[in-house]
Amino acid sequence: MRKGLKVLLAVVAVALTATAVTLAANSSSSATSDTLVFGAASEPTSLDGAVVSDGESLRVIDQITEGLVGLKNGTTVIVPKLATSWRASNGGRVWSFKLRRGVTFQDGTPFNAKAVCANFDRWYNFTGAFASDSTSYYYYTVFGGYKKAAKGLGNSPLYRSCRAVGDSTAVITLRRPNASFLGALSLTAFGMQSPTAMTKYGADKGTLSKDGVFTPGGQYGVPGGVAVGTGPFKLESWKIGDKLVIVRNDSYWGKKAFLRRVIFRAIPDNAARLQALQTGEIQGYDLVEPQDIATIKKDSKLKVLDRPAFNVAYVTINQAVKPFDNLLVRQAVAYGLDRAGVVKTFYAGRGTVANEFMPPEVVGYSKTVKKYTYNPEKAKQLLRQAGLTLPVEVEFWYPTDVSRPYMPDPARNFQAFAASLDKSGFKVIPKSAPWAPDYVGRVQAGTAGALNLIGWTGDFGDPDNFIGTFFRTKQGQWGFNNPQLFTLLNKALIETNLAKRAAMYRQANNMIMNFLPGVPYAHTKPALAFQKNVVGYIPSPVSLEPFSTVRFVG
Amino acid sequence: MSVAEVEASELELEPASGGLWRDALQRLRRSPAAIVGLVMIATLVVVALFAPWIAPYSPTEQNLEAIAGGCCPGPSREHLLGLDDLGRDELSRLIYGARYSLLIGVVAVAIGLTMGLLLGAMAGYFRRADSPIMRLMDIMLAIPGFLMAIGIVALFGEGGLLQVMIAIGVVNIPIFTRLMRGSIIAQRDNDYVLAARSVGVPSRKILGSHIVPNAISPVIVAATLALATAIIDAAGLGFLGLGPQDPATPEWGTMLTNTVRYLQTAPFLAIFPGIAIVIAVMGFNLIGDALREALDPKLRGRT
Repeated sequence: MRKGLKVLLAVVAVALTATAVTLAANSSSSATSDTLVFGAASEPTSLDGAVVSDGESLRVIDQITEGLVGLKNGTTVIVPKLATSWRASNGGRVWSFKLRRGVTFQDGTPFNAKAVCANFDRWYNFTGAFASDSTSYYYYTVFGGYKKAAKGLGNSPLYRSCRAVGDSTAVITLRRPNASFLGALSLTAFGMQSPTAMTKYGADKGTLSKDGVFTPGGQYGVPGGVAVGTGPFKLESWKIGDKLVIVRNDSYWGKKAFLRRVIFRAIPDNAARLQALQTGEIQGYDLVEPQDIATIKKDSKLKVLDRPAFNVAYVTINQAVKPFDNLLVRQAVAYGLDRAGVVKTFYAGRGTVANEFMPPEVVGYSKTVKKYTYNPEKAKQLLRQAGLTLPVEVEFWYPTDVSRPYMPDPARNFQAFAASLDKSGFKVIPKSAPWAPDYVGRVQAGTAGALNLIGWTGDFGDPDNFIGTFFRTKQGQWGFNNPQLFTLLNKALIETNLAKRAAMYRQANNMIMNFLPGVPYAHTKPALAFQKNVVGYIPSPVSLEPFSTVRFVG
Repeated sequence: MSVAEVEASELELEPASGGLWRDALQRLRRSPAAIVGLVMIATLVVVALFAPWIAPYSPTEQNLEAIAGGCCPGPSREHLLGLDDLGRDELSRLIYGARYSLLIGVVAVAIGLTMGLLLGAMAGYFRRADSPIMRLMDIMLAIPGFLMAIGIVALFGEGGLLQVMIAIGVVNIPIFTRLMRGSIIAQRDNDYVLAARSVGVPSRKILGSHIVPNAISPVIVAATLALATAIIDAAGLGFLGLGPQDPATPEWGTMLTNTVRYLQTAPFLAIFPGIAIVIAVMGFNLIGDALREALDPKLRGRT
């Protein structure tokens, strides 16, 4: 009875939280003016940029490490970072980078050409658990392979070697020209990390589960461990379930950060993040839910910042699962998803229906792709045509404990899609997994059913970063082998004539939407929310914003 | 009066009361709390059994058009308790949800009860089995129940109705085991046991047909109360996302989770399932409490 009552009270308490929050919102902000608390949507998976691909990890790593080049704040324009200038020769195969002088890593070791080569060689020499498209996702998709071919993966490495000429010139030789190489180097995944620290803390230890989930084995980039770069902030501490703290790097080579300390707290629940902002527990958070924007705008202490739409939400169709290798069945899926309904209802006017795997702003967007409007009857007819008896069972996965810019409430999207598929001759078997650490790895390894909900936020303004990342190589996530498509995208990647390149990507987009490796459904304009007295946060299309420009006023 | 006379007069009183269970029933009938609890649970059972006839809509029928204007329209004439975040009728979902909550409660308690009775009876009657069984129960009791339930569900790899029922059932085992053991120990040295043994009735039969029926009444009370806790635990596991894999399942705890993000815009979506849970739990608690009082030998005759 006692216990029953206690838990019962807890249930009632949940129902009453709404009222409590409104009252608490009047209490004053608890932050001091040099510490910012940011509400993250989940814990990072690791702080070693080379082994992550999710936004919550990259957000933190981006403050700690820097690449040879970076993006100008708020744009996708490439600017010098650790390299001050660069020159390509030998038809785009040899790149020599002049490095910034007098830069040291946060552990005191010098940043020089040898350190650059150590990083590049580390990625290239990845083996075992690291040489996998779910662990070193970015490296594999941009550089196409490792020194030793990884098990079950295609291998055509772009990288040949790196040579240190003196202390301040690094010469990187590629096996073939590549038009998006320089842009790709701005990725957080290719940030320069201290070779000394990586060796000392065992950054190259780790294991891969059979479902494709990577677990670091050393003390590098893990909770309670270290992560060392050259960035304006350095890692102070990270405790799962509590907080992650970064502090100002006072020996930073550039303009030093205004804030002395930034604390990241993982609050997976959207409503809880909003409440934390209203009570002043946090000063800002990402992934504001569309339906909360009106509430925030009404509050005189809060403000909303908009990010340009630079993402795509899509449903993966894994062709390794039968009968989805049949185009008719994939078409049935495309016709059976009520995309317009979902976008119109769940994105509060901030989303548009996606008809291809890249947003319209990116070069190479095609206006002539095949479109699939929701049509349950047509879907059923296609399934029958494929010789199947209805309903066709399909395992459909969705992530829990997360919200993404392109997918604010995965469970809701899932339920709407599941209902529309059920009406279209399918029988959905629902499956879920927590976003970190299982879901993303499973999706990338192709162990997340025949269909799953996922999406992508662009990292830099290049079409290869969207459809190239997805479809240039054979990948576990999609489970198909389409040499024609691979060849076209690889040709487009090295094409240096911009007009020709755009035409190739348009062709590729048309080809993709006929081939239907998945069904894109939404591009969204994500929103961030801050206390009004926080200034200097510049929303970026690639969703990675430096905290070094952020400060408090008033 | 001599002792014998006192005993004789007490014996004369006994038949007038007409047996333990009839007595208890009479006391229950006179307890307003029991009546209220009974009505609550009876309503719930009827609602659960006849859900397809009572519910005005299907619990999974979505109406995206209806919520295109924002989440979520509150109670109206067509939808008495409003619509949820996918445009489903909240009342219909609550009605169907009663099935899940009752099912989870009954099955989970049945699992715990069966295992608990077996283990408890063995521990209580066979002295050699006592120590090992009870130490095992101590270990289980050392882990907070809800935490253990979460652990068990995690052990299965994924959440689900069956997993939730098993987890809650297992958590309940030590409660019933301890109770049963205590109750058996109190009975096992009674004269009627000795009598049975002396005429050569086998141990198994003594335990099964003589001791257990006499020792079971506290366990029945505990089971009623455990039903309430099981429903709460199921809702709690559902709330933590360990409930059914299909988020469309109208399980009350899952309904709470799915709508907690609309607390600010549509608090009724969290309040209604909350009230449903409160009614179910309160009903079982009231009955359980009344039953305990009714069956308590110390309170006999104090009706």
